[in-house]
Amino acid sequence: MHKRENFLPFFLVFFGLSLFLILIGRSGISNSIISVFNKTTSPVKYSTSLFALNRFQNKTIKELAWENTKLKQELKIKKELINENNALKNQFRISEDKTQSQIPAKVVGQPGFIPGISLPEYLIIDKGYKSGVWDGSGVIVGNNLIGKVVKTYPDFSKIELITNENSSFTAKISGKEQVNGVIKGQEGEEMVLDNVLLAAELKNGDEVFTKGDRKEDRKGYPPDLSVGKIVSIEKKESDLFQRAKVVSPVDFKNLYMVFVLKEW
Amino acid sequence: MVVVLFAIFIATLLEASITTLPLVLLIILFASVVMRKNEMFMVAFFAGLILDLASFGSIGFSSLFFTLLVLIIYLYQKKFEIENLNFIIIFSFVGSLLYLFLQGSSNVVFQSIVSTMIISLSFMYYRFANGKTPRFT
Repeated sequence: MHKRENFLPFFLVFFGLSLFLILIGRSGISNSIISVFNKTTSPVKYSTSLFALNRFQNKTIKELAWENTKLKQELKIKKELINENNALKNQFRISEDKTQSQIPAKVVGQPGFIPGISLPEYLIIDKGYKSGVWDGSGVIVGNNLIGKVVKTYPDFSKIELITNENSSFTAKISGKEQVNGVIKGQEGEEMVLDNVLLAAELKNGDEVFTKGDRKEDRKGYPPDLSVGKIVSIEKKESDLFQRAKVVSPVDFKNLYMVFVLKEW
Repeated sequence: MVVVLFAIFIATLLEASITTLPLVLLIILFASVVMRKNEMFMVAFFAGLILDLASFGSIGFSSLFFTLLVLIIYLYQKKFEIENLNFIIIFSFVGSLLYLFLQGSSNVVFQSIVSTMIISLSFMYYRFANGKTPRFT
C-alpha cells in the first residue's frame, strides 16, 4: 500500500504557476522565448520530421521516376506559355505586377495523427515577423494555395491549411468568372465548394481559384491562386445551392518548402 | 524517475514535430498511477511547459491540464485502488478526449481510442514485467 502524503501544497504551487504562465502567454511576452527555444531545437525536430516522413511514405523509385517525367512535360508546356506571355507583354507593353513578392520558408514541423499518412493539422515554418511574415499572409507552392499564417513569432510561424475545418474563403471557377462559391475545409483531402447557385453549370475537372477577399488589415487571400479541381458534384433541385468536392494537387503530407506572400 | 523523464523527452519531441497523439499526457498518467509521488506535479508542470513551447501551443495550457490530471488521479486514489486496467482505460480515454478537444484537434474520438490502446498495452506489459497479472478491478 502506498503511503498517502499530503499533495495539496504541491498541487497549489504548480497550479498557481500554470495560471501565471497562461497570463504571460496571453500578454505576448513569451513569443521571444518560444522563438529562441524553437530555434535551438528545430534541427532535432526537422530531422525527426524528415525521418518519419521517409519511413512512412515508402515511395518506390519507379513511382518517383514516373512523377518526374510527368512534371517535366508540364514544365515544357508552362515554358511555352511563359514565352507566349512575354511576347504579348512586349507587344502591348504591359507592365508586370510587382506588388506580390514571396518569402521562401522551410517546413520544420507538420504534426498529424499518423505522420506521413494523415494530413497535418498545421505547419510550422522557419520564418516569422522578423522576415516580414504577417498574420493572415497567404502561403503557396507554385501557384497552388496551401493556407494562411495564423500566428507569427520572431523566427517562426504557424500555418493553417486550406484543408483545416476552420478554413473558409471565397472562390471562383476558371473560365466561368461569374460562378462563385465558398471553399470550406473538411479535415480530409477533399474540400467542399459550397454556396454555388443552382443555375451555375459545374462539371468534374473544373479548376477552382481564389476569388480574392483581401481586407484593409492585409488579411485574406489574393485572387487567382489555384485551389484545386472539382471531383464530384452534389446538386439537388430542392436545395438552395449546389456543392462540389474539390481536391488540391498539392501533397500536404510531403511539404518541405513553401512560399509566404509578402505583400499584395 | 529517470526513465519517466526520458520517455517524456521522446514523447515531447514526437508530439511537437510529427504526431498529434497526446503521448506526454499518457506518460504522465501512467507515471502518476504507478509511482504516486508528489514530484509528479513538478514533472507534469515542466513537461506541459516544454510541450507548449515546442509545439507553439498556448503557454501554460498543457501545464495546467496535466497538473489537474495528476490532482484528480491522487484524489481518486484516496478512496479507490487505481493501479488496475479499468482505471487506466477510462482515465486515459476521457483525459485524451478532453485534452484533444480543448486543443482543437481533429479525429478526437479516434485519437483517444488509439491513445487508450497504447497506454493499456503498456500497462499490461508493465504488470507482466513486474510479475503481476493485469487486473481489471
